[in-house]
Amino acid sequence: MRTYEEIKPAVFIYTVNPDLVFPVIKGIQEGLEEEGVPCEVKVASGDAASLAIQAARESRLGIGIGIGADRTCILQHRRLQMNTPVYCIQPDIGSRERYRLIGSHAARLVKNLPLKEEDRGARSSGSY
Amino acid sequence: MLVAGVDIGNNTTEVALAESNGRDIYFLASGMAATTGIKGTPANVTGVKLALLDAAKKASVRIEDIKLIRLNEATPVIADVAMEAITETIITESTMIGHNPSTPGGEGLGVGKTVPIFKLGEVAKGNRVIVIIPGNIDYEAAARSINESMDRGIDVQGAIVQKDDGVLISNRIKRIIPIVDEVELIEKVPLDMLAAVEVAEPGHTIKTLSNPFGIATVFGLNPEETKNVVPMARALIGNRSAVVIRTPAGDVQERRIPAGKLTLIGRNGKVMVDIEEGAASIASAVEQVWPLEDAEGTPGTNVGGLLARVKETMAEVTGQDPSSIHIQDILAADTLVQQKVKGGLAEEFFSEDAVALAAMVKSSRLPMEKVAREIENELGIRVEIAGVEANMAALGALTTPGASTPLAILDLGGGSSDAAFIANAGQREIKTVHLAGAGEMVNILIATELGISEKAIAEDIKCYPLAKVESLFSIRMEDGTVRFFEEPLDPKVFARVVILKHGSLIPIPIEASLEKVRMVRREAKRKVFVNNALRALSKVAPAGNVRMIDFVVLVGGSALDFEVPEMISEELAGYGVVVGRANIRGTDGPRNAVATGLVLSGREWP
Repeated sequence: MRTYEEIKPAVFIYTVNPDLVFPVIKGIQEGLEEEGVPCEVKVASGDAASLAIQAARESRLGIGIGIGADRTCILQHRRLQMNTPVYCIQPDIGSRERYRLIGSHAARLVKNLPLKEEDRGARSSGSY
Repeated sequence: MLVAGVDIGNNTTEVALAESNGRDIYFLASGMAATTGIKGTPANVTGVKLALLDAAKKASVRIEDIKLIRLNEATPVIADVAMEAITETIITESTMIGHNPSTPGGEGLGVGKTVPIFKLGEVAKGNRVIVIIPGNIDYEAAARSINESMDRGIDVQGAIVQKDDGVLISNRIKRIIPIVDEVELIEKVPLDMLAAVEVAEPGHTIKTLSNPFGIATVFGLNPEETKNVVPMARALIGNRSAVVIRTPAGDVQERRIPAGKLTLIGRNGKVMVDIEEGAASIASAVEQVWPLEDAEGTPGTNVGGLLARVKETMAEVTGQDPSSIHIQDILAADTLVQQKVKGGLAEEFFSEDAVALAAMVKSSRLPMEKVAREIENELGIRVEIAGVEANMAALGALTTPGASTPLAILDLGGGSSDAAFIANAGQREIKTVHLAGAGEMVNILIATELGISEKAIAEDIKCYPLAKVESLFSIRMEDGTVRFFEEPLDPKVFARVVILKHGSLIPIPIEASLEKVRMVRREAKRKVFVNNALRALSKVAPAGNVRMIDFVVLVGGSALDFEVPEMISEELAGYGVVVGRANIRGTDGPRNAVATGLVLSGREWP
């Protein structure tokens, strides 16, 4: 087990099986990358809520995302309770834009910047 | 006998309820309600009734037990505020993208012809290009195609992207090039034109495109053309990224709008002043002809509209002919308006110069008799119209513990700022003045300068201190102290500037630092309240000299403001004047002065 100081500062993304939820992870990573905040994906067990709590508590940045087997996606902060996550995407309404948004939220919590608004970028699929 | 003093103000109706046996008066309670309708109209009755009910409830009496209502003989003052923008920025043929995306990609300066990404294949080797990437192209595809073009020997210099993909694309291409993203109206970017894209490294601002000579170097401009790009360069100062495109007829202009003239007619002559000349010129023109007897604005401009509107409202209220109503004061303040740039590609906003104006009319008498009769009918209580408002306010203000004559009163309300000076308590004629500009004008200055469209938010910014949310559990107040919360805060307010209103946090819907919002708020108050306090006091002071006043008591709703009394106090300290907020009857603070005075003036002197 690495000591706390040895853990690289990154947002942790915990999931049961990364291959099953690959599009979700990709969206989240895009959101984090655009904001320039590092992340690490790890395999753990539990539902989305408990994965998110574990991820947040083990991340040096105090921010974690849990992805359940059903693609529920939860953003957590180290000091928040399990029933009050920062942000949550239910499995049936997830879109690539929203997964990217949750990644951007995670990054902006780290950078101490206001979170982006939900409907921003909705227009961006306009044609040329 | 139960007596109620009722003061119908512009914004609030206040009641002082007292038991009086003719000589001794015991105050029982105060009541307050919002004024219904315009002051001095029969619509006020509802507000009066609500305020009376409020007071009666607190005193545990019934409204029917009230034997006498003493009503203020209001000097009808109507004030209104308008803005007049005096500059306007217009981009013709979209030559510039000056917005500030939070995460542009890469860094440096790139210059080349604009080419849409799906036509990169047609570009010949060795050409310098700026790639345009619309939202329907995925960032991975975009990066791949840029890399292929680079391999083919095309000199890709930079990119303009519609979605928030700047960093993602930048991380996937072989060379670092500047990428500006989140360009909403990318379809309007002209193609096959020479363009320059600049992104500064994090924490820095652009150097070349914010410098007219930098733009001239990039595009090879002659001195005449260089002069024309000055507004463009100026608009880009402070940005981390920018795009400038050279189109044959393209131009950015800063135009001065003919803002209209004010004609000020005073007892000492007539002056014309251009709104463009700004607040200082207007103020000195008003002083030059003081006392003002009327004012006119150029028809068809905002000034003209403002003055006409004020006159019409007053005519309606008093039932007089609009032509017989005269403007008695004008207060101007220089300000900036956040306006969307005409022809911008990314919803850019520029600060345009503007002048805010408040105008005030006073008519000799309001038809208060009508209101009085209406109240008598409605409530079945005898109504008396008592003396002049300023005298009543003075009587009321003197119930402040520690206050004594000679005394000046400063009544800072919503629409107008009034002052009165009393040499001694028995004095019949009190010198008073009503000036345009008060709380409403502060709201307008805050709203326009910050670009806030909701009136309620501007009002809240005026009334409550600010804080910045620093974590999900703590906020830093504007004085620097930190406050912690047991429960996590709403992520929506995270890292935002918020208004602290009765323990709840209201996020300010704009991107501005706490310092900026605070500065705008305090400047607005200084331009209106501090300025008007000095103006008003110098008009009522003995020999027109503010130094001759010893005590100033602040009354009225705006005296409750958390910083205005301090600001005025600080300013007047230089004149050796003691300023304090009134505490009517030792209990009511700056409110209820007139209502209290109305009850007191009903005392039968032995």
